[in-house]
Amino acid sequence: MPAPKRRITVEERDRALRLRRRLTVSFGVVGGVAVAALGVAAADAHAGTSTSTVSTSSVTSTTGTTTTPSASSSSTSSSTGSASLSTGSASTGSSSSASTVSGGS
Amino acid sequence: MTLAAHRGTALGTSLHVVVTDPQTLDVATAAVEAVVDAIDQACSRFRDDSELSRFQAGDGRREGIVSPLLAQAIATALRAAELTAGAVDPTVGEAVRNAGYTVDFAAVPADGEPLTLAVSPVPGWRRVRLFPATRRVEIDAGVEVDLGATAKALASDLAAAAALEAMHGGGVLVSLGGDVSVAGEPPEDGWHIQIAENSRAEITPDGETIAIRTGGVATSSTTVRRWRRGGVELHHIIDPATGLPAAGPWRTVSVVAGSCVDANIAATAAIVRGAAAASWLDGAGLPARLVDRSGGMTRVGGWPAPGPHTS
Repeated sequence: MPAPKRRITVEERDRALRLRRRLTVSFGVVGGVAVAALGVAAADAHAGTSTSTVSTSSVTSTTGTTTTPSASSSSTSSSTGSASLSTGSASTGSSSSASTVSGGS
Repeated sequence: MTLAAHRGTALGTSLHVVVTDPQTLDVATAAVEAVVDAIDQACSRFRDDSELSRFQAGDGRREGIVSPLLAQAIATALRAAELTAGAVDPTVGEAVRNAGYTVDFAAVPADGEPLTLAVSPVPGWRRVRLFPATRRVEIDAGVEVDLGATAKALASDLAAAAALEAMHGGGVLVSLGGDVSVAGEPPEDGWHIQIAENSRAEITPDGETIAIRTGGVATSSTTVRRWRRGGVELHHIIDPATGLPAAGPWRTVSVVAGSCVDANIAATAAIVRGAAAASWLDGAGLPARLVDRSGGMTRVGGWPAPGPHTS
């Protein structure tokens, strides 16, 4: 036969309420720290994609498919021209044969 | 050989088309004008209806797919920034505007009230991203792109190539404001190009003249596109490190390269880089002629000696 329930005192009730508040506050702080940590990690990850030469993912608006194109910082040289300035050569010309003028504009 | 030439205006500057076969002048000119118009519609920051203006309108981060031509122009600008360690940077838009160059240069008042300019680096080209495979472009918030440093030279290269294709042979020279590109079979003794500080200068008997057979020539100068605000002279070549008009020792730099774009990149970078530019150009094997503020000249990288009658 179960023992009859004892009614808690006012002091016991208040102590229990204080304990619950402390636990709630502690959990909130820990949770907040965790969320902040995740935010920092996310920011680091974002910085990595926007400033380094690694590939990033994006969804194109034209096809709706997920692609992984390379950002310009890593690929413009190979996709649009040489990785160095192309050289040329010139010889002494004659003003009487000049077709045009190269100057500032 | 008899050359034929068309002279007009485009992109707010002079346009010259010269061909080795006079019968091809009309078709070459039409091809050139079509390319120049397309560049203007894609890249102009002075037209509200240009693709670039529409793309970067509004606040915040902008992103989307651009046309092949605008993608190529942005790729060219980013390559210029990469190859010059940021000396030629397309994110100078706000700095150029703050300095007073807000509309097509012909409409920029020659004089005006003082401006307050802050020394502040431009946002930097890495805040513009191009994904070539999809032509997707992302521009970070607060970044204003200006393709003026490279788009005109790109137009010259593309126009010369388009003209040559339309001509089905021969040779062609295209000059847009002194940014010169040649394509096809050159005249027997090459294309003769006089070098000056202003592309609108007349050809003179004693003017320094060079000859090229391929590639391009470009000149950047702080002596043109100048205006005054509060009595202070300003010009259009912005130093990305300060956000202000470049203040180095060179006022005009001309470069010969394998393309007009590359010549233009090197010439503009030299103005920005200042004193170190001559050795940089020489080390890169780029024939260059640099004019300092007092008119003194330095020739490096195999730039030919001036002729005996050159002033």
